Amino acid sequence: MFREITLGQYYPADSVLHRLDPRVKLFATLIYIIVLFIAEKPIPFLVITAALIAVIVMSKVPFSYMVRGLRGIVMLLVIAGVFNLFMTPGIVVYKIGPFEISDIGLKNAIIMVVRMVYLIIGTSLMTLTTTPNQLTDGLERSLRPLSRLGAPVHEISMMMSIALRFIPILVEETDKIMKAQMARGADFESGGLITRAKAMVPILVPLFVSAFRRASDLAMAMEARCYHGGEGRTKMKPLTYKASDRVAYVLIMAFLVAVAVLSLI
Amino acid sequence: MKSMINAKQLTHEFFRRDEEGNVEGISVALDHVDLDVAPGAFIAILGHNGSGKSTLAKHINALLTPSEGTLLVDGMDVSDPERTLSIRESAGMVFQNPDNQIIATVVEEDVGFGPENMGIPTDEIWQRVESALKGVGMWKYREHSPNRLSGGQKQRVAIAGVMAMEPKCIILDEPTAMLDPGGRAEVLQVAHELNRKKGITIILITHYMEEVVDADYVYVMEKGHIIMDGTPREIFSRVDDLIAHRLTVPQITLLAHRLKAAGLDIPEGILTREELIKALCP
Amino acid sequence: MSIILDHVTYTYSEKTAYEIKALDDVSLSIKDGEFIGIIGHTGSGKSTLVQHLNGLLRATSGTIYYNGQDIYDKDFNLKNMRTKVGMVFQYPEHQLFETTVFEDVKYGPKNQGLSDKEATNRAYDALADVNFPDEYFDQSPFELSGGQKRRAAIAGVLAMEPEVLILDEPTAGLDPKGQRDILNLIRRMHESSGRTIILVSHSMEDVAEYVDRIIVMDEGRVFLDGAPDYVFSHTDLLEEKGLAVPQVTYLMEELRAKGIPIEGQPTTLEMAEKEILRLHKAGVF
Repeated sequence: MFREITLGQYYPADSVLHRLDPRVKLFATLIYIIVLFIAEKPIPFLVITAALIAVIVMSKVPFSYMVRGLRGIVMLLVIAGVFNLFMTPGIVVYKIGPFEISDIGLKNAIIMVVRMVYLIIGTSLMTLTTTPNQLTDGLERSLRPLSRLGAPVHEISMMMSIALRFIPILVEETDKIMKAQMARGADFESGGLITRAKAMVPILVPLFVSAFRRASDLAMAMEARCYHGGEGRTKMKPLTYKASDRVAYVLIMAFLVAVAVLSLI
Repeated sequence: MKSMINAKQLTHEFFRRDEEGNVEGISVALDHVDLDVAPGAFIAILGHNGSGKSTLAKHINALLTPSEGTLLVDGMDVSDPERTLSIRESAGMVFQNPDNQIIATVVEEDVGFGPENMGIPTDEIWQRVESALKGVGMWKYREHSPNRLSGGQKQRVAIAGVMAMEPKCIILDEPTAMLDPGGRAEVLQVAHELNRKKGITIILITHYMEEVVDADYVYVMEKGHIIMDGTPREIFSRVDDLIAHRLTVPQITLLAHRLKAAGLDIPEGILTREELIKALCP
Repeated sequence: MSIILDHVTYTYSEKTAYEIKALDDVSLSIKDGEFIGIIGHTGSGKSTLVQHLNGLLRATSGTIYYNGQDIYDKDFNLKNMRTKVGMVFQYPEHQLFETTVFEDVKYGPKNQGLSDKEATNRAYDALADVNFPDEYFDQSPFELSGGQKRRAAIAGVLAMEPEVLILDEPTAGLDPKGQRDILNLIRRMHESSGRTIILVSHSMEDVAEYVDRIIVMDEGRVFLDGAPDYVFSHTDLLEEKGLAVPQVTYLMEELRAKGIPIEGQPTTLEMAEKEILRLHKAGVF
């Protein structure tokens, strides 16, 4: 069932984090990424860890969901860790055969791995607690100042939400076309790279034709419902800041300052 | 009384082009069509693919404009670009493919799309969405993803999306062509309810004869012309004409027609089983 | 040429919260030369069933035998079988991809490993079988009308000369004229070649008129299986499942309820007409 695939993997629950304005969450994620790269010493990392644990608990999302995002990058983590571990010059603290581990290498490897793991967990927290629509809405509102400079902010966010609606449909359609061509004796599994690439043509052509047909149908349907760009549009679900959002902004800033100060001393 | 839709000598031509974009010839999709629809009517337009019925529908929504003749929708001329948005607000349109007209990933947000475009204040959008979704019986699915709905349900959401714009008229362009019999029945029932309870003018475009039985008035189109018009009974009385135009006649009407031809005393234009039984056993 | 399904079950998303049994313990036997209609509403398992018949879906449990051979046996050539059991999907024109109709129809035969000459011959025959007009052979399939696209797509499957032809709602989305043409075409293919035809349909009137045997699916199970007059004599059972019988069958039953001595179980217009005229001559009407 290809319909199970959802972008960004939203986990529905009723938590403080779910209720936060998406703009706050986008801002928090940005600050969090900055902070992760400022921090180098153990104490700032302790602060970050504490904050991360607190937010994870508040989110009511099972921890296993956040760890899932890590599976895909395990190899990357191992390779990056090993490189840092063995390739960094410094005072040798440990020796395995011809391989030497230096003190700086050890430190770099740990920081690297911790940063990556924290980065994945932190960003997946945002996507797990925010629906794709809220995310595009939040982006549109956050980037609104850019539209004064002529950037097509409304158009980009409209494109994003339409893409979110049609990706599952096109994925399912791909499956259908593949089956139809297999019923005509197509073979997608055997042969070399070029043979396999050629075998994709009977899938890609109908898929593009269908995507274009859908696009033109949809454009007409949008026009019929009075769509005429972002101008003069109202919002069914406007974004408004609540008290909790303001508190969150203060906390995020406090967090940034705390980590920055602790990193300097 | 003022008419909801009034077409006088409505003609639409388009250029056929070859691969280099040179004009090869002119095709006439609508050929001097006259049509008048009273407010609150339920009318059906029948015809094969390529008969011009969809082209006509797109004119009523100002998605196309006439090459010749005039078309007034609620008194507004569709050729006047200033009125385009107002025309689309008074005459909403539901299309054939249920998947390709739903824009949002949540049912209620899709229904709100039209009112958002019209600049309706947020509170009122919510009221309209609620009443539109309740009107088509989809209120309990408001937070669902459209991807998980059946074809008939998706079309009801599409109808709600138009209803939320509070139009006077809804054009349904082959809304049942891609649905199974259950879905077809759902959509037709909703269309009739909106017509009866809210007095909305309905223009149903279809190629299924069975669907026009309950309409007030029927137009049959072929090659851009209206070739027949009348009440369903008048139309169904002309079985031989319908067959000559290769339109399918409902099984019961056809059976009655054949029995009459074989010498039984049965009136023309039988629409239902009850009528046929009554004619057979008076 | 027979297909036998032995206790076939197919489960989507097994062992998750979304687990759905799309097929539930289905046993069936399809004999050579039969013309079968499969009916049932959306989600009844009819599309899943036909996708098992040519090995596109693999049963979660149970066995399928094609001419006596277990198709899940590791020595069995599934790819070869898929060309023997031709499958025309819903909206088959969505799979067209070549620059010309003719090249598109040759795609199947070429996948079968036939030479270009043989594939060309096959394409000619298949396009002739579906009454495809010669002058459009070199047209792009994307420029054809809906009915012609559908014929071209059906020819693409026919060109593989399958022994069994499965059509999943071949008339969906066509206008009545196009629907009639396609159904008559299918009937002619059955009569002239004697190949087994399996037609998935929503229309009770169509299956009553065209097929010899009807399989009714409901919730992944075979609900009724038999000749049209047998299946459509179960009006109450079918209505319970949200299905119906042909309009004329309803009519004849209502007449019977009024005490009129209807003989047999008329399921088509012709049968009903004949019966009423017989009674007319007998002086009942």
